Amino acid sequence: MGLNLRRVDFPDWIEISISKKERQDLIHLIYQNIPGYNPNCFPYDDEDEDFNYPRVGSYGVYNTFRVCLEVLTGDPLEIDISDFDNFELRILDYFKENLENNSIEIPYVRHILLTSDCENVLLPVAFDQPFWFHDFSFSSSIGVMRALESFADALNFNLCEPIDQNELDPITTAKNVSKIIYQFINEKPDVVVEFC
Amino acid sequence: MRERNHEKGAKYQRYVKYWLDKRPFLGYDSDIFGDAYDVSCKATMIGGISYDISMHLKKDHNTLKILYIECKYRDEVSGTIDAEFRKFLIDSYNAFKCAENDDANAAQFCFISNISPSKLHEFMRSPQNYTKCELEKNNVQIDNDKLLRLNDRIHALILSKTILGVE
Repeated sequence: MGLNLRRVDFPDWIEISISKKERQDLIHLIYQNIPGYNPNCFPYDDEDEDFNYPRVGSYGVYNTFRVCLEVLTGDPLEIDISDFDNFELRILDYFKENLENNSIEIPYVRHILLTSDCENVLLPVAFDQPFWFHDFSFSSSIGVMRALESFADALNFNLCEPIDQNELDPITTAKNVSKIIYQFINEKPDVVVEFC
Repeated sequence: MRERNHEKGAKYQRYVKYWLDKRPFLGYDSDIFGDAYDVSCKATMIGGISYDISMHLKKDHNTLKILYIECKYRDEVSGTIDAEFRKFLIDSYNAFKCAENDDANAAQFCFISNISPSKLHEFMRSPQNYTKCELEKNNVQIDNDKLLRLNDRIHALILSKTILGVE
């Protein structure tokens, strides 16, 4: 189960996920962060209701991808490892040994690193910073795609290729996660996507 | 630097793992077998379906069963988990149906979440009937013998953040 991707009808999503008395606060926050936002501008097709949405992997798999980004874009010593289990510590060591630490700049990487690993909503408009409303985070799917493209450039792979099921090292895992997310967004780039 | 609230799901999964490891389960001793994010991820697969965690279930140090676990976190106030539970039931039925005989005979499946599916009591009364309804609703072709055998192999466990001690 772990982390799945699902296309959502945004007005419906707000109705289901946000209590009536808080909806206006959320809309206000969205207007603050996305000037010119129009709540009805995101297309949605009923066929997207099919529940067989793709599984990115376990939450740990997605965390592997994010640790990979953190090592590439920042100082690995700054990663908070207080909660990491042995699997995660081994993966961090692997990235530190095999990647050039703090070596690249990835635009919009905050839309991946500073958002939640579930209950994150990707809006198909460009905006600079992700934002939070209670436990929900909101990021730009355009920003996420730009970040994934830079990540793929840095590691020299193609995001549109099939995922690699033979190699099981952490870097391949991170590449696979980025491919699953990119391909799903890219299929219908104008639709709101939820990490659920 | 990322703050810890950016990894709600990962943190929940981590605490589930701590809670499960070495805890008696289904009358067996247990320990973690595979995790979905390193080379041991092969150990989390059965019948072509990937699970989040797998565990050895043992008696006298001999592994007799493998427990495949799906782990799902949703916000306690606004979240619902029904679609994920339905997916788990259908996936587990398909995994059980497609697995090699030996693998299927040793398999147990468990859905672990912090909030309850809304019809959990109906599932608990008869996992077989409940799963059958979900399969029918989703037009999955049913092998009644497999479904009967799945009945006492499919489980749900609600582990709230409070029980786990997740901050």
